[in-house]
Amino acid sequence: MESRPDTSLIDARSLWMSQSSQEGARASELTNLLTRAASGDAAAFEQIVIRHERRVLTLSWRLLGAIEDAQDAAQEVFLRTFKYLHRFDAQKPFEPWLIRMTVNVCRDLGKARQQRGAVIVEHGESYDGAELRDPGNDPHEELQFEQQRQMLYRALDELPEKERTAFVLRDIEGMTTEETAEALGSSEATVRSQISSARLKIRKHVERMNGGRR
Amino acid sequence: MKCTALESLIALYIEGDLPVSSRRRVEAHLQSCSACKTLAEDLRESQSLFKVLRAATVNSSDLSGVRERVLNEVGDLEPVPGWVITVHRLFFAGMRRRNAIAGVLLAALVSGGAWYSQWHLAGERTNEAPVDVASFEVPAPADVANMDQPSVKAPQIVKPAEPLEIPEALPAEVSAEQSVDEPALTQSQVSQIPMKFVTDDPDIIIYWLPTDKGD
Repeated sequence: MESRPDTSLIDARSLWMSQSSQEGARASELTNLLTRAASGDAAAFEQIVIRHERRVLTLSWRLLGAIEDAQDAAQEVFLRTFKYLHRFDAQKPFEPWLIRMTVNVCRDLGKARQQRGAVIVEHGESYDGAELRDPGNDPHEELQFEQQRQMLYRALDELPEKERTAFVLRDIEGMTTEETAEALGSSEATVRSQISSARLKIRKHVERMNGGRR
Repeated sequence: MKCTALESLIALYIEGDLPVSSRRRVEAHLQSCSACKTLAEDLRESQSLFKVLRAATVNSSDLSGVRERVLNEVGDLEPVPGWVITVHRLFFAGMRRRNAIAGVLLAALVSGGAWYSQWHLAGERTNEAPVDVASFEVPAPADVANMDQPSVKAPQIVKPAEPLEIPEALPAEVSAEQSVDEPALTQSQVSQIPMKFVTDDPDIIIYWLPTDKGD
């Protein structure tokens, strides 16, 4: 019986090459959009907004708690992006720059809110319109998830601002410690210290909410 | 090993945020300490709850609301002039803005300091008292040729604000130096003001403090 050559390696390599070429094309397209937008092309800027609005608004919502504040923050982020786009080095990745700006804007808004003495509105109560990527059909499960979500956001609201930001970026957004440190403009050691402290506090909060097992 | 000291490491261990050496230390401790093992399990549980939150995201109507507001505002904004973009890319390309500004400031500081010191020195030179050459008789060329090195330059007259008190021991020393390095001067050259002789050697400066008799 004639043996057939093993093509799995060739397939994997061609798949990798096609993926990397797609990424390269996407990156060069974004660079082109950024260059045009920096020169004042509104249509190019709209494309940039469409590509990144979900990430920016969701992150702002997770950092600030209330969707109204998050919308204000996202608007400010994109306006600053348009204003300072000429300062961005197009050879570098765009998203970390945008995330860093989002974190800074949310920090400013959070401080302003504290100075105003505004009450932090909890996520669950202020925003019922959250979309779930894996919506359950079971209403009981959905209710349970909603209760859990509110409890977790309450735990988040109890954290100091810096710890909460580090925790949101690392553990909810799923960024690496290095990316988190870059977004916060601090060292990886500082981020590790912040997320460690945040995880311990959250665990205590969750334990308290569950009635205290230990 | 104290468990409280390890709590923060365990909180990092459960998400793989520890370097290999610390990870091994924590793993070894967890095998022998049931309390810390329970802590690690609790932390994993609360972390898994938060991972569920990754699924929750904002809804589409909020997104379109933000986009509309942004694009309205952007339409009213003036685009950045082309020359600003060019200048920015020329000077700050590939650098962090903060570093670039710090570099420019440092260069400005250094060149400013150098310019100031030059300007200050030039000012000092112009402010120096003019040498009263007229009242000084230049030694004959033959005498100058016979003088030992270092050679003596034209004297600079130091005008004190108040009359100098000349210590008693000084004239003897000065006259000793004078006999070696200075050319003989006539009585008419003697004045009541001290004179300073600058030599080629910066370590040797000769002061002449004449008495009433011109010693």
